Amino acid sequence: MSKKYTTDNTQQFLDAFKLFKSSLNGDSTGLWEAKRAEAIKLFEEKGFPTTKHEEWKYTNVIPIVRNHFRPVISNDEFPVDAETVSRNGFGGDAYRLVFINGHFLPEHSTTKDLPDGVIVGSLGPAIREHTELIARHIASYSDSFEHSFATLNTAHIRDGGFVFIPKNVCLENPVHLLYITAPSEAVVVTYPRTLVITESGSQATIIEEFVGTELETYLTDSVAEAIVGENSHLSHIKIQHESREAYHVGASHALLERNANYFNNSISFGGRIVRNDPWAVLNGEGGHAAIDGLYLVGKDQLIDNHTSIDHRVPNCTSHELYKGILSENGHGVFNGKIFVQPDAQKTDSVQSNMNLLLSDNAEIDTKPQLEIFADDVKCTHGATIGRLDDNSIFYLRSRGIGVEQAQKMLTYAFATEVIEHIKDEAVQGYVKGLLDSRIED
Amino acid sequence: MSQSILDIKNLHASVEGNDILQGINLAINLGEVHAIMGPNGSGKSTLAQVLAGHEAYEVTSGEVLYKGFDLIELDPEERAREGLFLAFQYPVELPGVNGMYFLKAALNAVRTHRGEEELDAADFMALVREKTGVLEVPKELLNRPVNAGFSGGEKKRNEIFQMTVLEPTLAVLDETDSGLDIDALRVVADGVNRLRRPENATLVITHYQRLLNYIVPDFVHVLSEGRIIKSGEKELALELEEKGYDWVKEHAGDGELVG
Repeated sequence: MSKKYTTDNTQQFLDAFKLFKSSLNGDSTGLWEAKRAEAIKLFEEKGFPTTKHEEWKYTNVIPIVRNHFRPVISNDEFPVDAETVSRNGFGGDAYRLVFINGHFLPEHSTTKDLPDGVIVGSLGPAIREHTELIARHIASYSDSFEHSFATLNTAHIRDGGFVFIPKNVCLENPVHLLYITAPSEAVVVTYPRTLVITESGSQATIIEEFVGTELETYLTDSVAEAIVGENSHLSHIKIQHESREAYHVGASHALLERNANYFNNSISFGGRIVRNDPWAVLNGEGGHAAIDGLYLVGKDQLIDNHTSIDHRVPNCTSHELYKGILSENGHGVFNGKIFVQPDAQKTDSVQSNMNLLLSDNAEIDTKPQLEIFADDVKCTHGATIGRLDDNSIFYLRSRGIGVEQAQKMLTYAFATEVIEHIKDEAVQGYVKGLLDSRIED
Repeated sequence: MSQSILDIKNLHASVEGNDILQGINLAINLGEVHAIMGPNGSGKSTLAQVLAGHEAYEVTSGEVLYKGFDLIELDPEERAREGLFLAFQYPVELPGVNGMYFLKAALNAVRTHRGEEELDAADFMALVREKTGVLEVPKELLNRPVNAGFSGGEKKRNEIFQMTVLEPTLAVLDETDSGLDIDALRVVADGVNRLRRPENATLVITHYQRLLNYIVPDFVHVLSEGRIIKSGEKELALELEEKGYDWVKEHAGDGELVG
């Protein structure tokens, strides 16, 4: 039965792909065409996963993929004003690329005063100018993890954020990639794509922000790839506050070279069904990956985090902290894989998943998954599931603070640790504000 | 005649089914400092928790009048807003709760209750400076998360700091002196003494006479097995130090009951 469903749903997406392809009117490059053809073929063979797949045990994708989503063919379909843009995203100083329904909006974007050699721009035009650089990296990693949605994203590759930081350049302001899904008559799907390359000794902060402007059903299927060069520092912050009726499936893949530092912070507030797959591969000695996340899961929501840190070489460290706040009938999932490959001696890895249950009806499935093939390593992991502490609430009440406010203060306090790992203060303040308004709801 | 702030009559309370308080009688007037002394397990902390309204402690009989209110009927936050303050024996650590945010929320809860305007961050800081007077505002108490990773002494100091800012009508200090070195003890005592006014009162609960060298009480009560067995003036504390609790037990009833 479920097999049949899957096949039907696959056909829907194949039909939508044809619509997308015919809309291109030959406006494409050979590289894109090759990538698309390869990806759609792979997708056609595999289809969507079912809950029988171990990786998708808790997330049934049928409620997502049974929708007749269609890609938005052009910007002209749904014009968006500047106010919609500024009201819906991080407004601090940043190099900013704005995408509405998957299309780049140059008039709302700003990339003024970039240091020499830095590229922050839309992937669409960039592919013509920087063909070789992009071709070397794009879709070279993400599809390898057998993720149907990532494959589908590659099949629809056209636009997205492209960031290149040359050797020894430190970018002071963050790069803000704002992916907005705005009101439309159809049930739309967007395929945001991000490619970030930091060369040796460089430093940058990238914010991928996903937001829906109205309460409506749509699908965001995103992929981000980062190549973190030798001795470079990349902070990659994903802020997801999609519409409560939306679906979001997002994967990121970072490849760390020697002595590279990669900080991935995934903040999930919105969506009906959300799936995050942040992956980090430690591919050069001395690398450090910090993979953090915060998920607020409320009424009728499912947020599934499947993280993976792959230690391939010796002397790397990784640190992972995921925190969840679950209320009403919300369902959260944390599955944290740590691979330590046979060569990866002296690996030092710490993983922690902490969950705060605010309701008897909420559910959390938490699973550390350590696969260690080296013998001289230090790997620790822990998971906790708890409620608000009665003594802490009493202490606040004894100072005149009402029960409800005390609960909110402690809930906020539980979450802030993850947000405080975001080094950029303006971004940190912005996320705290979003958290605050979520908790107040 | 002085005005009564707290009147405890025949108070019985239990925790997890164990009767701890077995008929406490105690009257405190405005302008007074009372000390309750007693051995471990005599019910000192239970009394403090009952006054603050901890749900784990059940009042089984008796009554407590605070400012004429039936205290037992009030929620913990209502008691606090009416000016009751408990300095905890074991202050709770609140990682992630910023000290200034916490204390501002507490002060604004009290102010809103009194019909006063809430203070913003700048006005709050000005008020903190004013109330802490010549003492430097302990920055770490405002910038760090509440009590998180604090030493025992720092936690107690934070309780006194909160008390200084909140200016309670009745402060209950639950073994605030336990475990403190002499410098920390002086900070605590100084905080209490500077708040001492005709329009408020303090109940100091302690195990050790030493604190009472720094906070001189008007009355001393000895608590044993859930009852006040002897009351007197400050000399009683010295006598107790010298002769021990057993002596008091033998001579229970010799002293003059207060109130």
